[in-house]
Amino acid sequence: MMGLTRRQFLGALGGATAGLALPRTTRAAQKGTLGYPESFGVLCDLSLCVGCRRCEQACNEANDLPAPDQAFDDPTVLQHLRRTTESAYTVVNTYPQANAPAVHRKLQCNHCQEPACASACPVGAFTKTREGAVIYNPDLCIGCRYCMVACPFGIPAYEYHDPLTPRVRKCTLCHERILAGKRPACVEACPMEALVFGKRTELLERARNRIAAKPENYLHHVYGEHEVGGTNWLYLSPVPFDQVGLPTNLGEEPLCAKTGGFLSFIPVVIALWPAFLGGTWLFKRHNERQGQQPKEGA
Amino acid sequence: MRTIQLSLIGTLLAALLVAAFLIAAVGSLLPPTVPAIEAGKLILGSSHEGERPAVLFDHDAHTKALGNAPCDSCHHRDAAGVPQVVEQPLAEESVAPSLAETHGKCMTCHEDRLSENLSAGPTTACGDCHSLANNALGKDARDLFFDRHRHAQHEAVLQPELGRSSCASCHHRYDDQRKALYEAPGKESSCRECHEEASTPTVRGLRQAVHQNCVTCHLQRLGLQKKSGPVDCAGCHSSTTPRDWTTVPRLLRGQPEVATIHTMSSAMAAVGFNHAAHESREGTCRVCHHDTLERCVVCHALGKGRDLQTVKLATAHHTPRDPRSCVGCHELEKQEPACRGCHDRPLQELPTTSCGLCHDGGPGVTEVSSDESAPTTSSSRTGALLAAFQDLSSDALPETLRLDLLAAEYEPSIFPHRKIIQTLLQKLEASSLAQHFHPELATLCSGCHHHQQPSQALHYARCAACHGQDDEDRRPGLLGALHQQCLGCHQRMNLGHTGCEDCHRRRPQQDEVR
Amino acid sequence: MSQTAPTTCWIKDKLFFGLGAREYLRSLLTPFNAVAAMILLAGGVAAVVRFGQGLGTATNLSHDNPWGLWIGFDLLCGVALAAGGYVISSTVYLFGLKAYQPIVRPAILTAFLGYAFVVLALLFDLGRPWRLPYPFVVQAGFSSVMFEVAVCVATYCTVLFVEATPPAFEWLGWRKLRAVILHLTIPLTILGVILSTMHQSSLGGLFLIAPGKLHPLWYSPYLPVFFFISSIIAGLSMIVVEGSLSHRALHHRADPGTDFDALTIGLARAGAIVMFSYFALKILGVISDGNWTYLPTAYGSWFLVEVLGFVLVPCLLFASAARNRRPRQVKLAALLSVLGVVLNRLNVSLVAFNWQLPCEQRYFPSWMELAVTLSIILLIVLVFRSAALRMPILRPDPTYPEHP
Repeated sequence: MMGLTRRQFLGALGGATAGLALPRTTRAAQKGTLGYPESFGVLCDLSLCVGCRRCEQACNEANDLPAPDQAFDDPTVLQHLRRTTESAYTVVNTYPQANAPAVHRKLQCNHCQEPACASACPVGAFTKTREGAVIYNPDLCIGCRYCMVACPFGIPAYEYHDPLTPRVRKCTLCHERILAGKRPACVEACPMEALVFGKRTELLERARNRIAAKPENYLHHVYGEHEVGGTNWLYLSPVPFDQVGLPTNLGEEPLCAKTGGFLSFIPVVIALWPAFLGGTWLFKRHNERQGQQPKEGA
Repeated sequence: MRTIQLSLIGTLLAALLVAAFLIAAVGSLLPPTVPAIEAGKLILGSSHEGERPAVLFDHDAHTKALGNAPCDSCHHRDAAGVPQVVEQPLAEESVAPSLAETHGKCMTCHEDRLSENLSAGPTTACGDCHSLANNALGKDARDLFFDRHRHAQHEAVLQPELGRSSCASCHHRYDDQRKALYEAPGKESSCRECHEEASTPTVRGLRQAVHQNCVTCHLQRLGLQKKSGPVDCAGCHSSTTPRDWTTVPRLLRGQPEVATIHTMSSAMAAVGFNHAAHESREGTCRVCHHDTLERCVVCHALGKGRDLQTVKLATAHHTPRDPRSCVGCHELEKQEPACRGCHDRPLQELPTTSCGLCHDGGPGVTEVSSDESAPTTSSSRTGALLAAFQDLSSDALPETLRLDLLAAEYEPSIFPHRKIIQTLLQKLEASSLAQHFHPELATLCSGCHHHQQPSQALHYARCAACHGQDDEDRRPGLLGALHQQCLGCHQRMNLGHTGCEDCHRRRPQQDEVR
Repeated sequence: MSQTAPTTCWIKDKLFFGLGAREYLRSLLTPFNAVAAMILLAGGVAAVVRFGQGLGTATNLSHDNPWGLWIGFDLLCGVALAAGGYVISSTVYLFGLKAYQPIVRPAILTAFLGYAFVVLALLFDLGRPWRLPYPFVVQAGFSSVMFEVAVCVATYCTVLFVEATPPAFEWLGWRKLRAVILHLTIPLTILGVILSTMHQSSLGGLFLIAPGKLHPLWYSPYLPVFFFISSIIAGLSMIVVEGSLSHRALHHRADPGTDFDALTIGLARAGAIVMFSYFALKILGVISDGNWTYLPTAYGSWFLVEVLGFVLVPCLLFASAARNRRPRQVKLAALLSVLGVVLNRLNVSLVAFNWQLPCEQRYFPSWMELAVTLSIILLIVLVFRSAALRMPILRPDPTYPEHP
């Protein structure tokens, strides 16, 4: 290759910079288009939950999960806070109150509108369905467990005991049942009708109606309306949400936007680095050769 | 070998840094200790711009140690020979002593006693007295609640001695123009009417005034060898146990036993208000009458210098949220477990059906007893209810109901309908307030048979008539309706029996081995 | 061309240093090899448990702590410490500092072995390791930072493999192939820097998605920048550390014409500059996010230990060593800064991660995880040693000309 002129070098650099004008295709969420508008959801009214754990039992039966060590009607289970496991897609935790009845909270996948697990999975094993459920495909999963790191609610559990075919396990919103026109098993089982199934938009309205009808019963906020971009599982609570184990510091931006911003720099690197590095090499080589040969004009 | 030296120094520096921050890390993990404050200990010296922590001054320990005439060791006596307490206790003529004077007083005493081999406080290290780490601990003694019981105790001692003018021993008013205190018999009010929390240039603060009044009087009487109250902190500031106010004699101030409250309107009849019965509910008059102990209409009606900020008369009597109003206090009572089963939510609006229960025209029409235990005409009302209840046939009010519409996983629930009404009636007997507002049996039915007109014939729709299979906005399905109603009531009334099998047994499942 | 010789002679010649089989095996009985064998045995046991009974038995991982030592150290630290490859090759071939040519080959070999064994460690950690190629051949999760890490690491592994072949070809005598590869040096180097920039920063980017789980002093939108710059620091420092270790252990194979100590001075200069920029960025990160309120806590003190004790102190040591030409001080500083990078990666992935969970739910590695990690480190050392003893890594083969 002949010596590079200054003009040629600058031209190459400018062309690479023009690559910056390429449209950003990796930005994950645009405002106002989160989730599917007709998706279903569940409204969970914590002022009604009595901690009977029939929802846990129904989930266990509907998903053919192994029987737990302690029976579902064993009240001592509620003395400790639990988390979801590979054989318990949902658990109910009790939060005693001073001078008031205890508040119980059902814990399960919140089926976010922009799920962090789905954006984190390198093989796209999670899908946000039109019905609102976030479902997992074990046939794709490589077992990297990044979804477990990404979930802000700490929901996905892993089959660590399985050496060869471990899967990530979590609530599926009974997607199969929804497609068959039925309600999720936990919703159907709740005797207090603390769980209500319906279109997410309608549930939000019902939640607001409940707050308006009994304003002293609830915190004036529907949890899940905007948290991490909105979830399909909504909560109403008589006590502050962080007192029932729901994180309140998540913000309203979907978590995939935090990595989306970084990933959008990849095209910049691919465009700029070759020009910069190649240019440097050519420049150095040019200088070397200038140093070796006697100068012959400009 | 400078290379090695500098390398060693570098390594040493790094190690020291690591060690220092590790220690800091561990140290900041330890919880801070907070000292406990008991009654009888005062916090002094917290105003010196935080140079030194405050002093935790054990007043009772000092009075014990100083034996006879302990007050004069520290407190000046004023012109009347009364030891000054609370504010500027060490000052003459209410002039604030300098720091040096205060310290001098304390330290001189300590040093003198030490030289006489008596027990003494610290004399050298500042930190031995200035040891309170947290200057923001605020109040030290428990609030003293000067209630009707204590008032009665004082009356019992002073009235035999002083007769009608015993009130003037404590109660006074101040004439701004003459700049003097004077007695106002028949118009005694709470101390708090004039003496607020903080002192002003013209009026002493509550703490100052009360201690001045009470402790001084006690000291004087002790000096005169008369029966007196305590002079140490703990003597008055001891924990007050909840009291049965019905046993405390009435605090007489010329108030009526039964009053007619006129409504100043032709639309509403007057209210026959049993003042004596209501007095026996509370420990002070201030609960309703604020600090002035005046009639409501004196302040809450328009005119006579009241500004537009004052709460309206109707609001003062009816607002559901404030316990000083009639309705507000009643709402508070309805939060008792015995009532909360049906009365599960505070009132949003006043129901128009119950106005007549209070606005009945005046005294003589309602007969409410001031004595809870003796049977009176009010329990004759309950008696009427009980009779009406027992008269009900088992068709009208069955003994039990079999709830089987949803029985699948569980067997049908046997609902003890009659027993529930009977229990409610028993709870009604215990409260004259409840008796007054439940004149008919139908009022008890409305608790569960809601959103319907109370029916004299006691015909009510079954739950399943309105609550179907699915839930709707603001109307749960039958499953939710039954459970929310039953479990909710049990929870609010602390009845227990909230387990699934307490109401319906589980059917054995087909695939169950358990 | 070398004449074809009987196979046994080739083994004896190429692998056994000309010794007979028995003699060679006897020469392997050294104390170091004995300790190594024990560690490898423990690692082997751990491997059997992991693949026989699952991750639950072999590790202390839990639903709350899905990533443990194998990700925190083997992956995150391993990739950082193998960054010397792209740092030195770009220095020599792109920025033209030919004086560092002698350390290119050891750096590239270290880098290649580092990445290869990182992939091996990943095979232990993945739930279904045989599905490792799935993101490329079955379905790609384009929105995932981990996908980007996977693509870049896989590609860079290939690049490193190709870059590491010339010494092997010289050892095997394959001249033509060697020449072809050497012609590709510049494009491979450029590709290496691009890929390294992307995946080194992406390792930091992995944690961007978990702001609630990472302590605010370590979480920053600039985590990828921090990881990228600390990889440069790690690369430079590892070259010094690994270079001084191999020169001490294998000095009889080292090139007498190379003054390694003199080269370290230049590396120290670069290290000081990069480390000071990194230090300044970390401090600015704390200030710009308003997180100095966390400094007076236990975690704050630990953060200061990491940033002051293991970034600022080695930075200053590098600077003074470069100025006063003290190779021994450079080596001490390099060791400190390697430890600092390791500490930073472990902090981000294990210590400051899940910082809000109570003690009982926090993670500490099991002995089997440690055994596998140590075995992998040991295998890198052993393979490097085997290669360096046989191939022209530490010194050039005089029968082959310099790169045209």
